Amino acid sequence: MKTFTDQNGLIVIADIDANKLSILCDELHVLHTAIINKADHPFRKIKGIHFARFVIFPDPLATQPPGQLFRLVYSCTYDGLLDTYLQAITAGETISPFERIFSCCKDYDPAVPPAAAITTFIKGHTQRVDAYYSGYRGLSNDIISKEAEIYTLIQQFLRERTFAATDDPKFIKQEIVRYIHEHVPDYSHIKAVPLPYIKPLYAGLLIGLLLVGILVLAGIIHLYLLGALVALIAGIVFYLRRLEQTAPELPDTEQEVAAVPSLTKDEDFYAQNQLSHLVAINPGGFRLGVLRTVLWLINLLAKYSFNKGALGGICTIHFAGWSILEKERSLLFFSNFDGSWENYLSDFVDRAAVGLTGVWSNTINFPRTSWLAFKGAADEERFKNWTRKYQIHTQVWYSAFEELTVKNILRNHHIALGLNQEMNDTQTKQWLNLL
Amino acid sequence: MAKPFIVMQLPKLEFGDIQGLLIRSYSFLPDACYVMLQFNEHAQIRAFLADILPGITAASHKRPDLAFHIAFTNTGISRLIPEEQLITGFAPEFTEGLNTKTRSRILGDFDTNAPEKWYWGGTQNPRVDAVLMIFAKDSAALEEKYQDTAERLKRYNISEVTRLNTMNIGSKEHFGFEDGIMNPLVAGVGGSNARYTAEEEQNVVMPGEFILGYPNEYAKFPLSPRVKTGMDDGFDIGKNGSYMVFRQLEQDVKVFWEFIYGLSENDPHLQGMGPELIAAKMMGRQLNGESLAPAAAGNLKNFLFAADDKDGFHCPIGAHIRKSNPRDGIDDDPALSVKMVKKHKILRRGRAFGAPLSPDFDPATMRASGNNDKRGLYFICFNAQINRQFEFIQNAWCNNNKFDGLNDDIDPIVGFPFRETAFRNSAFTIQGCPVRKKISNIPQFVFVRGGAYFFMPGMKALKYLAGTPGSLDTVL
Repeated sequence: MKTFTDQNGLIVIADIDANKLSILCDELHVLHTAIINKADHPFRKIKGIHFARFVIFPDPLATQPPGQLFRLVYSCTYDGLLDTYLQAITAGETISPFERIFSCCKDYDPAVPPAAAITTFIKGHTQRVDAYYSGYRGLSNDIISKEAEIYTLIQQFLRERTFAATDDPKFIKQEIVRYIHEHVPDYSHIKAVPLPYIKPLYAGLLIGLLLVGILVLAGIIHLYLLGALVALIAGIVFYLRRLEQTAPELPDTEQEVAAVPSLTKDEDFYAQNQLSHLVAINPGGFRLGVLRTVLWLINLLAKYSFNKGALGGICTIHFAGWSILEKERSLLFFSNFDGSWENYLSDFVDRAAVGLTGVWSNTINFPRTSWLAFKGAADEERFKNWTRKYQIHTQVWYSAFEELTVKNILRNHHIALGLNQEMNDTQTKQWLNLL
Repeated sequence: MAKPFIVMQLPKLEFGDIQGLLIRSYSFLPDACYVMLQFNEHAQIRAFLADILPGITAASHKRPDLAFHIAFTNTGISRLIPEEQLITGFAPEFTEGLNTKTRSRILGDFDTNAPEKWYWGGTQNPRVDAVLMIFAKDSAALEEKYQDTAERLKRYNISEVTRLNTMNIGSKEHFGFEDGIMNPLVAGVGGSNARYTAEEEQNVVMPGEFILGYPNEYAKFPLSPRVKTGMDDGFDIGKNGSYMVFRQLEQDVKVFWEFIYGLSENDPHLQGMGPELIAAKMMGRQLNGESLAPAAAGNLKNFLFAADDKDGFHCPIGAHIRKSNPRDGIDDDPALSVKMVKKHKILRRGRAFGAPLSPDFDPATMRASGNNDKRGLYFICFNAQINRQFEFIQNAWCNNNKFDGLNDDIDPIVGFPFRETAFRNSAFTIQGCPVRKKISNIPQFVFVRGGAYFFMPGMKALKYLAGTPGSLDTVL
């Protein structure tokens, strides 16, 4: 097995042909039904795919003004290269549902052979993902599946074999390794995935130092330059504070969001759930600039600092991404997470309120913020209601391992790695404790 | 040894406006019953409320001889407050109601727990609009109050849907464990300058978590329903009230002990573990209430998991008391865990029903008994946000087989796999050295047999409800 395969997030957005909207809705419904009934569907046959979803916005089921433009989003997380992935979805046995779905969009060219048409279509409508997080960077679909198999086999072994309290931990491990060796001959190829890593604290310090460095540099070049920079920062802060104090919140009278039942009906079917969220960015170039900066920073942190299974203390996120949609001047957020919506949102509030406020304070009707990243999401009830208000219906959602949590996947990885490692007594006990 | 005290500046609670059950559980009033009501077409609800209002016990009565309370379901409230009268509404979970599909999926009320099969409050049962709760010092006093109430109900054309009688079975619950040991300490109940020991602090919770109109653990006021009054702000009808969760939970005590004895006698993995120890591992406490996690001798309440029992070698990670109150044990940050857990607490006020399977709660006798009487718990709890408190505990902790890194461990006592529509036997892991033991195929021991979400208003709000709609004259 290869040691490092990165996972990539793909977002494709295209205008839907108004005449084909109802056909598209039906196609997506068929696919959705096949997935929840665990019937035959194309995602199952694509090897490197972790998650996928189709979303139509605005919601075609809600009343919309005449002439409304509907758009289709296709988003997924896949292993390795885009071209390999495109080959997989345009292969003979998987292509037809994709063809039927994408051909409902305006720019799809039915005149060319479908494989080429889909490839051109996807490449031509790819949306930049401004900030992207992965809960287990480097663990490809293959690795996850192999390691889950090993975990299941060990459980089976421990059901069959009884060990006494006096048995030596090293002996028990040896017996487990022997059993796995019999059942999974290629287990020893599993290797640790090396990732560049900077502790979040150091990353923060580094950014701070960089800022100070720029100021010092400016001061060395010319004192006026330093003065101008300080004035600029002070101006930005002052302007931001003024905007914050006047930004309207969602009024309490709108706290009960009518759309909730249409969202909750698709939740809690598996160990994992998903969220699609779309909200307008506050008017003005200033807010857009701040948002871009914050997302750029989060993207860097997610790649190099939050790559050990937790994003700012939240260890239930598989993949999540923010994307700024220019045309709509809106911020799109997709997330695949463990447990219930309520659990996930509570984690947001309790563990990562600052980071999330930094992002969403730039969008409309967000709970009152302070200094860009404070208050806001910490106003728990209003933040949750705001999230529901701008959450959008996901027509199709697929997860390759819907019953595995991030913690399960990482635990399986540690167990599998441990099979090949020489360990002392303490390490052996810790390893057995993972079982 | 002198213990360090923490002095907290706390909001002043308006005890005169809060119904007493929110503040105390009336252990000195051992006899109780709950009367479920329906407001039929001709019911004179306001007149009835005005009539019983003087008899409702406010929390300012510290030791009443008799306590009398009322709470409403969403259908009851909507009879009293027309939709257009509301400026901000009641909580969505309450408005939706306990017996609906979404709530069922969150709570695991499917199959054997399904609202279609409930004795009351379910989809096939008569509608419940309100509940009257009577607590008395003996059965004669209880009966007297009930008869008096029943006459008034008749007078105002209100029908009784069912009467639920509690049973005083002492300090244990039906499986035989000491019960009711932990309840949050509500900040402000002991006065606005209360002192708590440092180890009590993890259990001190802001009043806004249980009573509307006070700051909660986020230092925010919980959203509260308001009604129009002609004045600018309207009237905060939620103030000093609370959402009350009521669920009738039936316990199959015999099956519980049969299963435990079966494991102890036949499971080769559990060699040397007596039935009481296996049961204790599943509950997280000994039968006598002692903690499994290391704790000071005799200290049943204040113990922690992170420092001495992180891996669950003493109290398993999936044990009932650890799942429903993880204390400082979630993830790797004990202080943050305590802070988070405080946001998911409930005030328990339940009482048992049915006679114990064995009068002295002896496991061997309970296992062998042929008595099939119904017994269990009227689970009652208060919270300011049902979704973040009661439902969260049941869904994200008890019913969640992946809780805190576990693989497939649902709460072995009250858990129900919320993702499946049919009951599925789950597993339970007893962490330990050299390697964990696993119990599989755990049957269901606790069954949901009825229930509803109620709102228990404050005294002023009751007065408002008893008056002419939209008029505040009676309240101010």
